[in-house]
Amino acid sequence: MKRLRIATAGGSGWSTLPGDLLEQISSRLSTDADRLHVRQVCAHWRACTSPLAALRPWIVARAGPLPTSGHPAYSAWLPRRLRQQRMVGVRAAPAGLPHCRGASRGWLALVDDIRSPTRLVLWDPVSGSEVPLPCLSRVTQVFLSGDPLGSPDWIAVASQRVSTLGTKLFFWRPGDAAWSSLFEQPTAGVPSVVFHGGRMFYMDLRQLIAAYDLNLGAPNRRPASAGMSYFGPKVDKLCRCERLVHLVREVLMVSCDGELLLVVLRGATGSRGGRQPPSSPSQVSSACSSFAEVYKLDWTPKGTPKIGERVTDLGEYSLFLGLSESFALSAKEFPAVRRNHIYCVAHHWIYYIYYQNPYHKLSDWAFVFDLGSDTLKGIPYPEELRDDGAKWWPYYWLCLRSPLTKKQQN
Amino acid sequence: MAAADSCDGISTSGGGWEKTVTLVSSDDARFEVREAAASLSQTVRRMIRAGGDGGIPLPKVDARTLSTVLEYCNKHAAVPAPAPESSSAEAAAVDLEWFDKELMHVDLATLCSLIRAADYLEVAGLLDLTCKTVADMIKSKTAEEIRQMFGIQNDFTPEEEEQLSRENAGVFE
Repeated sequence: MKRLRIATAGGSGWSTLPGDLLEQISSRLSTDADRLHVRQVCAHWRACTSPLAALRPWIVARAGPLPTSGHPAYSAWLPRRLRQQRMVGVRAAPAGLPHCRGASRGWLALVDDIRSPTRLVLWDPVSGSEVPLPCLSRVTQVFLSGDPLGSPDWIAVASQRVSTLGTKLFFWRPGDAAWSSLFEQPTAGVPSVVFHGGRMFYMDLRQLIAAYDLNLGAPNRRPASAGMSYFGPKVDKLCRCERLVHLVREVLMVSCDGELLLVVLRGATGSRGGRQPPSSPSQVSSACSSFAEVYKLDWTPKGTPKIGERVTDLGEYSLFLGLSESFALSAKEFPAVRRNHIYCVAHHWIYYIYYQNPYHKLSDWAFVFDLGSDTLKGIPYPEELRDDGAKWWPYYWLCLRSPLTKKQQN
Repeated sequence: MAAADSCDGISTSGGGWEKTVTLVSSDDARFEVREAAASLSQTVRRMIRAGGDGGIPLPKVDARTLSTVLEYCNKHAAVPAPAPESSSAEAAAVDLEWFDKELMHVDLATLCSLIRAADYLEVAGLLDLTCKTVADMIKSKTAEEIRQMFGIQNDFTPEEEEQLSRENAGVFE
């Protein structure tokens, strides 16, 4: 069918802009929504701009303790339930770095060996860029304060396993010869590290929460402690139900739209509808009944954290909680995301599931909690992975640095 | 150098010390420009090398657009090689940024001509600047808002429209 084009005053120039110029303009748009909209303007614009290969974000899964040799022990997945759930094909992964140790700012932290690595590399799956970091033995997670290619002022924080639960934190800045210890005492695991307002916050499994001034832009000054506090009792008092011990599966921090937020994952099913997560203890009924609660987290000038008001409406934002970096995305910018939801990879249930259910019965690999209606849904474990002998676990959310187009996908 | 000297269309007057070239727009306006500035255009640079009579013809750029392009080239070619880390280099960068911003305060029709001219003349910096400016205007807008802004007709068939609306609802849950 021949298309009828009507040139309106002053507009004809835009609707006939040469294709390579349109593609150049489109390539400078950073959100998925903008990339979709530019292709919906007219047939010419659509024909000239490359379509997205996959909407962000994705889930990164890691293979079990004995991955198939020679293949990467990690893979990226579209988490969708209603639509096609599939592995995302990106550029060829860097050779000889089969293990993933964290996802941050769209970069994957890759190592050649889990116990005694000789190489630690940040890899951007869209551009294929690699940023080598000094090696750190038994590194478990890597967190980035900013984009390594975006500004010279960024810092990497890594956790190192020193015993079954004991973890030490290290930092590295561009130009440093090696990682430096943040503090000497090991902490009890590091589930949550977040960068917010020039500071780094971390919370360990005992809910010891600590803040550090990053001193970015001052190369001679190392990150400095800005206070710490045991937070457990405060978190315990949040629930007003009559139970003596309140259900708290995990406490995480996330930076969202200029606010530092505290997320208390209770792991219950919500008060209205939804179905039981596979591992939820049956005795939990009305008490501690929500899947998750969100609070503002304030840091007093004296250096102590204070739990602020409860948040039930994140606006256009939603939270993505994983084993490594947790982050917030705006539904306006990322059309795959529903506003005011909490997306959570099932790794948080790893202890329960692992001990209560055999691996092959893992039914959901992520949970989607609607803060507005207090309802919970699961995203089923991909069938493709179920029969794979490598025992894949969902670990991280990955929001690539830039949109992935079909052209970039090769 | 030898090729440029042999070219008749190039006068060596102008700033007294600097070599200039004459560019001719589609509507026959003549612009005498320093060669260093004109050479920011890869297209012009190639034509200078090739030589020729009576100025360099640029049949795809009108006088109004060409004068803006040359304003950009003159400003950017005037910047001395930056001594890194020096305060004057930093000030020059800030000044250039300010200049670029001001240059982009134009109506949409002019911007459209500029982006085409930057592409045809192969002025990499200006092409980047204009594309960025357009991308910033498109940012956070719906397809309908973009159409209205640029005066573009929606020419999708109803079937295509339906497909587009499905694209926007790529929700996972």
